[in-house]
Amino acid sequence: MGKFIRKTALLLLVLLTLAVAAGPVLTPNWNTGDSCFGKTTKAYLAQPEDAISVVTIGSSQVLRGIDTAAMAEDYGIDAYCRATAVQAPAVTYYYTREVIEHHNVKVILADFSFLYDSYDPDEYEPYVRYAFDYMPLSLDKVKAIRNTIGETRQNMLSYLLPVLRYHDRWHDLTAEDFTWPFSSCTDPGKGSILLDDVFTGERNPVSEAPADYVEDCKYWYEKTISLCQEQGVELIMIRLPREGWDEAHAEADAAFAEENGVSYLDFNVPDLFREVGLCEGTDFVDPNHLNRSGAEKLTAWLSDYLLTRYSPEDLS
Amino acid sequence: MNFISIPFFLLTAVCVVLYYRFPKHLRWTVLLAGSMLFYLVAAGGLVLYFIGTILTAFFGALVLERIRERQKVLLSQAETRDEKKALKAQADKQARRVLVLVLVINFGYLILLKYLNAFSSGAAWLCGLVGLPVSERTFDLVMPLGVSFYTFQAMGYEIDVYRGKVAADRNILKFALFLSFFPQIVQGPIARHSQLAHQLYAGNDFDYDNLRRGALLAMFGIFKKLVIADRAAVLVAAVFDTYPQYTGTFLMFAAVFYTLQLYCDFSGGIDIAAGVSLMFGVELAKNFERPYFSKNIPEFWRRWHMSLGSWCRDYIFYPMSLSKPMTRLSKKCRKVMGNTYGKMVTVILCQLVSFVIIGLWHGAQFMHAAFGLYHAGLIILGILFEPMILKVSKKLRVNPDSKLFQAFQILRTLFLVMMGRFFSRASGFRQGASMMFHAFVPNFRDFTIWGLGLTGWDYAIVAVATAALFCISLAQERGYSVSQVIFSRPLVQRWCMYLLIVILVVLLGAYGPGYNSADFIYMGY
Amino acid sequence: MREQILELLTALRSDVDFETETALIDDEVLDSFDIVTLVGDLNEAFDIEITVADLTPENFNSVDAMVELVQSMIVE
Repeated sequence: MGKFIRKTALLLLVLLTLAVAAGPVLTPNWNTGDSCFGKTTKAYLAQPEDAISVVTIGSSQVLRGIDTAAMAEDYGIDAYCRATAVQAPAVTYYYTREVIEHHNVKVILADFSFLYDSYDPDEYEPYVRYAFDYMPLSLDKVKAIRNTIGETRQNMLSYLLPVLRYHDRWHDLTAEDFTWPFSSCTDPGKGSILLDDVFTGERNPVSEAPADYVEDCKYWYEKTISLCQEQGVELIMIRLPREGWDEAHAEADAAFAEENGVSYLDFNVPDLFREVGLCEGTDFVDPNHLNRSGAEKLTAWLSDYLLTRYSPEDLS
Repeated sequence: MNFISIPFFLLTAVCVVLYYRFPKHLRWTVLLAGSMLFYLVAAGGLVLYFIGTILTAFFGALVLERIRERQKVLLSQAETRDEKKALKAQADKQARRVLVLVLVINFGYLILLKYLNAFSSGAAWLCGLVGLPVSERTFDLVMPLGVSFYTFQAMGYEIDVYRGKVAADRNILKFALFLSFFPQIVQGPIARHSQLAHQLYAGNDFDYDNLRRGALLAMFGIFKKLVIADRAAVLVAAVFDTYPQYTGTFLMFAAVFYTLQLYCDFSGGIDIAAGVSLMFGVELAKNFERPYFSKNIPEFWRRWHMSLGSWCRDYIFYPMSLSKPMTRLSKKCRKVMGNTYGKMVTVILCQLVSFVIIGLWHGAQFMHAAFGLYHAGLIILGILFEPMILKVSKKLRVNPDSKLFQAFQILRTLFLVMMGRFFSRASGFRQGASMMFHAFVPNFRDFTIWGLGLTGWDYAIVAVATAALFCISLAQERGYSVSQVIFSRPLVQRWCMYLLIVILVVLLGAYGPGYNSADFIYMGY
Repeated sequence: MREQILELLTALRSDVDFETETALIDDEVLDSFDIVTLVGDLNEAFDIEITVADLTPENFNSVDAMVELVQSMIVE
């Protein structure tokens, strides 16, 4: 009986090793379409400790709308973008926690994109995968996955053992899939990914939904704010130009910010919009996202804003 | 608790280890604990109904045995033949009352659960016919896990005790194990007490071969389910669930896949159950014996879902055909219709009843009864026309032993079985009949295998896996044991094969949401 | 009597050699129709009442077993 147990245990160990090894090979590299989350995540993880002072975080509006590379080059601010497409609230918390742990972060510019919308992890599965697949395994990651996908145990396993999710890719594998897990990446964009197209149509951002907080999401955003306050990091709540905005939402945002004791910058508000110098017709790639031109303007404004509150040494 | 899941794997692993650590006479307690845990996790509070069956069956059997024992004592004291006859009759009457009570309680409960909605809608329909205004009520009844299986298994035991074939169990906990043994509670097979009980109660010696064979068998079952059945299911759902969007040749094509899916899914599940049982040294009764190699429908039912077929034969067909009313009817028919055809009447009648019951066992809708009737009809036609067919084939000089003829018989049987499946998979009788009819209206011009949910790779995998399954089945049919071949190989080869089968299941299994790269491209900014 | 029973059997299943077969039930040579029809024939021919309880392999595995069964039932 002992012999049987030992043999079986050994066999299972071999199987587990193969399963774990198969994960990185079968996991798609996410470097297609308009983003390259595989590359950007790997490049981020390769940053030396304490290299980042300012973090931008949120969903694709932030990803496209703030040029963290320009912040560094032109203003000497060590900024990095930790936004991902359609970022889940629990991911925002997890990413914030992770970046604070490894870097001397002073300021976080956070766009809480799901404050009024519930997050459906099944509908947004690709985006959940983008956010988690290349992050290293840790207790925080497991918690974040659990909090994002809910109670289904089966799905958790597919995150811990990616072979279970991507096994169908076996017939699509190329040589690159075997070398990619070992390749290192650099990201001159510092996490931001800017787009060059110009949307010339009419924007008319209007919200179709009431400005009611979604409690589950609000919880994570508040937790993010508390974490920053505990760790002595200033969280500035920002709202990048988006569709689905109206005054009710602006008021609700402002109320949320005040309730949690954070500063608040809403770039949808016409005054601020003009102050930044944004212009519909040149600065948008679609009604919901700024393009490179718009991002440059916003980045300039934000960098100036930050430098009025902090000395350059603090932010580099 | 799904068979193919981490919790089930852990439960099995822990039970196996504990089983062989425990002293032999206590090993059954491990199985009982595991089974109760499994049932509680899988079905929660519904365990109360299960306990109800356990209690009624257990105490009913004890009472039956006591009646018999008293009968023996009194018989030995009785003197005249008439006294003996009277005593026997009285004991029989008492025993029958107890048996009927237990049967009515348990089968009544099963029938209520399964068919209450059917009765309700049937009654509503009848009232509608007569003009009585009545609103139909549907009941939301949850079925305790395995109720069809354990009820049949318990009642089989009860009847066996009544017939004096089996001694009543004295230990209620052991009896509970007999009914609840976790590998077989979900999908069967429906076990007989005389075959299963002693294997569960006695505690089995550690046998390395049993463990390997069991593990391999379970793995094979998982392979059949995940790689073939779950993959075929996608196409079947695409065509059958959207009927009448796909018709004609599509239906025929999907029917082939459904036939494959049903076999791989059901027999795969049974393989897992049998494999896990074997790891405890318990051999479950066979439930499948390569049924698609059958040459005729009766043979098919001796190879498919064997435990249900043999249960119905022993507890419905035989008692019914040998009952007084039936034997009297048979005598009359022989007189009126002559021996050859006269004796067929009761057999046919009892077959009809048996098969309608088999059909209805699967579900409460009329289409399930139709499924039973379809097969009964084929069997009856076989019975009626057998003498004629023999004459014709002799005239045509057909050699019944030729490979060609046998292949013809197998394909013909397979085709007939395939057609019957429309009644298992449709949403109702009318749809099933309609599908069966339309399947014969070919539309080759519109037919394509694409767009039905399976990619080229999927078809390739199904084809190769089915071919492998066919070869293995053919070898088994000829008497070869594939597992013995594997075990006789040197260690490195064996381990490579084990690893290979697991790798194939993990990579090729049709589980999870599937990966379609198009869904994952981020174009939404 | 043995002759009679043998006749019934061969009329039922001409393809089986009942002289040599001793596992008619165990090897499933006779199926459930055969059994039921046979029982009907035996009941008819010998005016006996074979019941479900008598349907055991011991009683039907071979011609001789059947002869024994019928004889025991006639005696009763």
